[in-house]
Amino acid sequence: MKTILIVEDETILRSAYASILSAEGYKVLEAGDGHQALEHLKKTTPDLILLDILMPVMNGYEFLEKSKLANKTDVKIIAFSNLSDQQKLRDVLKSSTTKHVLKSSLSPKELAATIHEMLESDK
Amino acid sequence: MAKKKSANNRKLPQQDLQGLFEQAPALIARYKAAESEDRYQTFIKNSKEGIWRIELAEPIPTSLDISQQVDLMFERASLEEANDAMARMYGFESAESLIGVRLAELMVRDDPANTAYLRAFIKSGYNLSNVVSHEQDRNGNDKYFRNSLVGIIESGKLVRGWGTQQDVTKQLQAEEKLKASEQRLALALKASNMGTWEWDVKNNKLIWSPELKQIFGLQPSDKITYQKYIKMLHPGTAQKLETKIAHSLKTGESYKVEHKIIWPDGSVHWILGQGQAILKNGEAIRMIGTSMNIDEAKRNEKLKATNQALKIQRKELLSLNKSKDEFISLASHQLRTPATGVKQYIGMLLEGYGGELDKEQMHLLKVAYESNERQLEIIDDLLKVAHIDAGKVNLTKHETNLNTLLKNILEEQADTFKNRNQSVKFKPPEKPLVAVIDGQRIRMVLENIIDNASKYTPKGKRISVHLQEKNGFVEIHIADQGVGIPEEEMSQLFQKFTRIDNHLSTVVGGTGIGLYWAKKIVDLHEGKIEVSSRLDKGSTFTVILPKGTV
Repeated sequence: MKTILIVEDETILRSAYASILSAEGYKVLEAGDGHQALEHLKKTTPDLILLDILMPVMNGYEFLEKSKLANKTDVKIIAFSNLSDQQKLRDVLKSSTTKHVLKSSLSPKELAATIHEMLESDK
Repeated sequence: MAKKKSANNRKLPQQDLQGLFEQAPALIARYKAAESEDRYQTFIKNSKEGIWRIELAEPIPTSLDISQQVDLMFERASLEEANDAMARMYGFESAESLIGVRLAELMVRDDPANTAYLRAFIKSGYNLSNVVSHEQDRNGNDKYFRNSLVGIIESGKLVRGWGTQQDVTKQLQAEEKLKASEQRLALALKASNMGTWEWDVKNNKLIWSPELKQIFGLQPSDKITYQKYIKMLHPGTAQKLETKIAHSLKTGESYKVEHKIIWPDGSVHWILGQGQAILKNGEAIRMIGTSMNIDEAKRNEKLKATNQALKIQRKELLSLNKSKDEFISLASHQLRTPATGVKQYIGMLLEGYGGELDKEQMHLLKVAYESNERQLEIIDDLLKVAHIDAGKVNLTKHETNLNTLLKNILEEQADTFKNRNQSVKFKPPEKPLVAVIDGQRIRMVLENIIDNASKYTPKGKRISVHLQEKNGFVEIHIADQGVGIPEEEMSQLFQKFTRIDNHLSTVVGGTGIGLYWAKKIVDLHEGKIEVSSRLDKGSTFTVILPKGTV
């Protein structure tokens, strides 16, 4: 069973993603900010991280920097961007195992499909 | 030389005594003549005026025309007798040095004043007084002499001339200097819009300079009195000025005051008045002063104040605008999260994560989902505007193949065109057109314009896209056969939150920021968007971008 770490400060969205991904058969870990996400990484290495960028305490960029995950290929990353940081994300997430999507653009099925596609890609 | 002649004449001739008696009367006459000659010589010697005699080497016929006579005078005249006073005028110690000097050596021949002087002498009948000649002394210094001269005519010919002259060089130069300094003062007064006045307090006589009259809007011939002056003062500032004048009259202290005056034509002007009373035994006898027009300075002062106020206002407006932008940005961010939440939860229901739904339930949820999608779109549009208005958009330019870009857009929207039964014409140039642009954002700009073209074009009509290069620019023409844009609404086309009213705009959704954003992006590329349109015939949007370099 693949593990997905959801890093999202908004509870309503975090639980939505958790419900969807559990239903899709993934093991789901949840973090409310970058700091909590780092705590998770100490214990386990997820297959994919669903990362919100705009968060209090430690935002997505800081998390990427501290975890040094942006350039690693064993952990895939989907970052939720908003309009203003698409450009910055393009610069930060250069690896083919990373992706950034506009937060509100995907429906549950589309989100699941995107994740599925990324996890299957290196098989 | 001839200078000794007169001395010889004075000597008594050697005669024998016999003849002396017979010749006594003649001798007496001679003696007397000699005595008078002596007195004459003494007079000449001690005279402060220069006294001279000029002889002409060859007499000049008075019948010749004037210019010829003048020329001949310069050629033939030389000084044959002079006194020491005369010599000193030319920088010599004694008269001897002057004898034999030619007229041409003394008088500056090129000076028209000298020619005029000789001409006047001839015209006057060879008898002229008080005429100034311009000459030079032995050191080449300019000299001015006031001359009186008489010509001796014998048998119709000018043979010699007698004359006296006074050195008026210093006097003339002083006059010249005074004139120059007066001119300078007048100029300075005029340039600074300043006039001077003098008030004889005891006799109540006021003297104004012509400049001052001008400053008060008066004619040079207008008479002025203190009472008249007081009447011209503007009531708003008169008190202030009169108090200062009164104080100066009492103490002799100077004053300086800005006040207003009213011209005879009714116009009001600003004056900087300065003055000072001159006291004698504690009593003011005279007062002098200046008045300067300071309308311009006052205007500038006012402008400056207005400017300052405007600056403050601008700052406030900018800050207000910034607050507004920040509000939009913040509100949109805040709205976005719950709206996204709604999308996810309705999405889960629609996509079966919550179990089976019947047809009616699915329909209701679909309506809710679409409404939510629309809401998210508006929020994203608002954020886009807030973002670009805050100047946060930085272009990422790359070499972009516009042939491909346009082809991709049209392919992506192919379904939409098909649904509306619209045909699309696009023939890319043979050679791919490459420009250095922010491909992603320009793509959004073109998508928006093409989408608009489709939205506002009735079913069955055509949309044509044309791409070309022109003078280092790429031009993308997007022409539709749609409803067109009314002339009077053209100017609002690119404004924020405006939508052009037509029979399709109520059907077609939109926040009215698409073209606003597009123009901003094209502006950032230093390009432009041109529009031409005819009602019910269609519109053509042309995006012009510099080709740019990497």
